[in-house]
Amino acid sequence: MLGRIFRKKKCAPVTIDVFLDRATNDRFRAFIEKNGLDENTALVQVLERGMANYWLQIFKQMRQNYSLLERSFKEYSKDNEVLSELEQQTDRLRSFLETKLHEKTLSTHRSME
Amino acid sequence: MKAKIRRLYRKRAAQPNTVGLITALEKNRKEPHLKITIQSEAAEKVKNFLNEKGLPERWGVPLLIEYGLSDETEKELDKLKSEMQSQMRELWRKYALMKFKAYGLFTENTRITMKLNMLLSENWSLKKRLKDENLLEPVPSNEWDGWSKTVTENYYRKYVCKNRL
Repeated sequence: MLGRIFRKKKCAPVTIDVFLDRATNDRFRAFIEKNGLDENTALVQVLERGMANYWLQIFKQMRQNYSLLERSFKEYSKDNEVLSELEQQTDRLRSFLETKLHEKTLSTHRSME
Repeated sequence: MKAKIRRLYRKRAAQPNTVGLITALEKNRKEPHLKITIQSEAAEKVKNFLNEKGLPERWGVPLLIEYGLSDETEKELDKLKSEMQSQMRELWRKYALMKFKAYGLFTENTRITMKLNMLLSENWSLKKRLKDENLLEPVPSNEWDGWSKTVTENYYRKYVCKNRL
């Protein structure tokens, strides 16, 4: 969805040029039909409503984003538990093996002496 | 030599004209296109509002139209307004904190996933060796012992290729 506001000449009326997605366009057409307005008035009304409810819509969107983020967060923590455990266990096993091998070498040396 | 030049020209002519292609695509764009003339006062108001919010016209105008066409009734909007007044600050705080923590976990998971194949093979071989040489009894068994290639690929897709979030 893209849009721009422009006027061709200095005193000419302002044109709003906008690409909407199909669903928004359908809703806009339905709004015009429902309220029996012409396109210009309908667009001005819609824009004014959009400006008035801007923060409410941002809040609504943020609430949705928060629930999505919460879900992702749970997923990441679950994965992190497993992945960190794998990393730590590998480190533990490696150092354990090294110690054992070291002990083994020492005991061999001692027995040779 | 002339034949070679002619061949090159022909090859170049056969290549698609990029500008023409983009213009044709713009003309045949499937998205509905509105071009409406409105009063300059209303347009100024919209322009000022977008400037104030730091939104470019390109994205701001369709966004305002979308917001203006939202389905909420006045009653629902009032309810949302009262919720916003009571929850906004707390929600911002929780959201920012969770985003920060989620980012930390994500980067940590990415770091481990980058070396996941190596870690897994090392883990398996260490366990095998400890078991074979009877150095550790019992050798721990974990969920990653049975991981197939698909599991590691999923981790890669999620954390390295970042097809999520």
